[in-house]
Amino acid sequence: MYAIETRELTKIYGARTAVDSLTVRIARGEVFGFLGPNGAGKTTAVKMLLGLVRPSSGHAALLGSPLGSLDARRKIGYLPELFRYQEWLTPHEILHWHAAVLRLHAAKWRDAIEEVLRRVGLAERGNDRVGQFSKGMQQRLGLAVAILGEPELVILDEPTSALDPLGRADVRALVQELKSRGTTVFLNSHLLTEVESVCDSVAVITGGCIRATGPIDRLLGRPGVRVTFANGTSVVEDVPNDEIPALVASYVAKGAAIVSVVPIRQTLEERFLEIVRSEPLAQPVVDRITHAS
Amino acid sequence: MRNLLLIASLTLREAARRRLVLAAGIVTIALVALTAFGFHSLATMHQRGGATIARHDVLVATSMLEIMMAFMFSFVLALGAAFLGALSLGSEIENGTLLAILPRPLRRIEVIVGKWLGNAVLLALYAAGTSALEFGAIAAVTGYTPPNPVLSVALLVAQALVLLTLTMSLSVRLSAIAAGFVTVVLYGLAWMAGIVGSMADVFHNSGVRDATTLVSLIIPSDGIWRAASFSMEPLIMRAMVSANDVNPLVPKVPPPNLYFVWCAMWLLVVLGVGVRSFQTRDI
Repeated sequence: MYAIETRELTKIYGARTAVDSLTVRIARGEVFGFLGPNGAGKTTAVKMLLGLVRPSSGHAALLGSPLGSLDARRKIGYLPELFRYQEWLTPHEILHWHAAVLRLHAAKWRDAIEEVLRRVGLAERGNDRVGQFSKGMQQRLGLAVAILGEPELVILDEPTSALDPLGRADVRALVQELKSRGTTVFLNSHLLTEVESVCDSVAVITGGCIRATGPIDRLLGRPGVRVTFANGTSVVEDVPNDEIPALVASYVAKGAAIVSVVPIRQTLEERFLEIVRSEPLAQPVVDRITHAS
Repeated sequence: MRNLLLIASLTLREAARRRLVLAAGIVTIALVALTAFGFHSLATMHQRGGATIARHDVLVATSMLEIMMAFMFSFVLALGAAFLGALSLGSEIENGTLLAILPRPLRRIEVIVGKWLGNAVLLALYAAGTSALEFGAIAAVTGYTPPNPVLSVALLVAQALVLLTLTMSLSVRLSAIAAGFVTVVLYGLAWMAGIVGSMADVFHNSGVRDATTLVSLIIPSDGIWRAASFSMEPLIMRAMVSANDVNPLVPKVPPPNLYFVWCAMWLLVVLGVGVRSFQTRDI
């Protein structure tokens, strides 16, 4: 059973197709990056998954249940891109309310709330009014709400948009921690270094259509190495990092004068720009479901 | 039901935390104290141009002023209903607060009805508290109590609920400010139609009478107000109202009982339309 499975999920607003035939399968425990430029349809797709927006056509299931299932929603945490929490409440009160809605075991509320506040770095601010918080702190609160109750699936829509570099590092650590607990994470972002560092697989969406999807390693292609000799340069493709010493040894054995050896690999940003700037394809790059192991 | 109460409790807590309850309480107590002073002055005024004022004249004046006070509070409740209704749902859709709430295991009907319930409790508490203070203060300084104060308060609350329901249903699709504005305009239209309807009775103009009746069916706020006003009229005042009087504050006859059945159905239908609209709205 997949954490998220969509088939031909489409949303049309009047004459504009916001999301066109979205078909993805995300395995449980996977950290999935959903990439795209502004207005690509990322947030609309996420809202359809969460029942905030009604699909025009297509099907989807979350944690094995159809869209809108209350049972599935008990196991899902969500940080919206446009995060806003009741500024007249404290983080403790907001989390207490969400714990009540999630029907968490009442005896565990206090510990669970303290735990998530600690994990997002708000342990000392739990009793302050949210109205006094900066945007970054409100986003941290949103993360706390999203991970409350140890959900099986966490959907984060631009989770670092209001955070400083320290906060971004904290989010990366949080995502890794969620992954280590077996939580599926759907990360909606256009911060590519962030996605590259934490995601197992990605999909790139532009104009509402998926343009490429798959495990990051497959999407970026195999790494290579650039070897500079005293009399020229050679690029050797398909050389994993662990094979570079042997390659260098073979050159040295042949008496080559090596000046430098630089591993090369396309970054996600380079690959992303390549995909986004290329002409739309009839079929996405890489098998749509190959990452769903 | 549990989720509905969780939403309602959030609405009530917001009113308390945002000092709505405190501010409304202070202003209302000041107003009641001021009017109590006025009623006391009226009750102790024995002479007019050298002649003694009869006791029943004082009672009629007191009852008339009390109905006017009730009208003022009904206006405050009407605006309060439009204000609360527009802000509680419309502004939360606009500012994104609902984005963190709706993905939770909640049905949308629980969210909108829970908010409606929270606001309804607020309006009912305000109406009951204010009326108890005002009626109590007037009774204390003049010895006069309206014939059926509990029914009067219930009808004032009913009028506020009609406007609350209308605003909340409108705010599902309109912006908060537009929903509130439309409700206030419709409230004013219904009130004006009530006056025109009274004049149509005097001039025996059935066409205008039917048109204003239609307005009172489409927007029942004024019809309910007239029932509230009628329930506050003492017999001595009714005896003084002539057939040709056109006074929106002193209706000569209350709406028929069937009208209240209509109002209850109206409320359920309008709330139902709001719920259905909310269930199908993209957030």
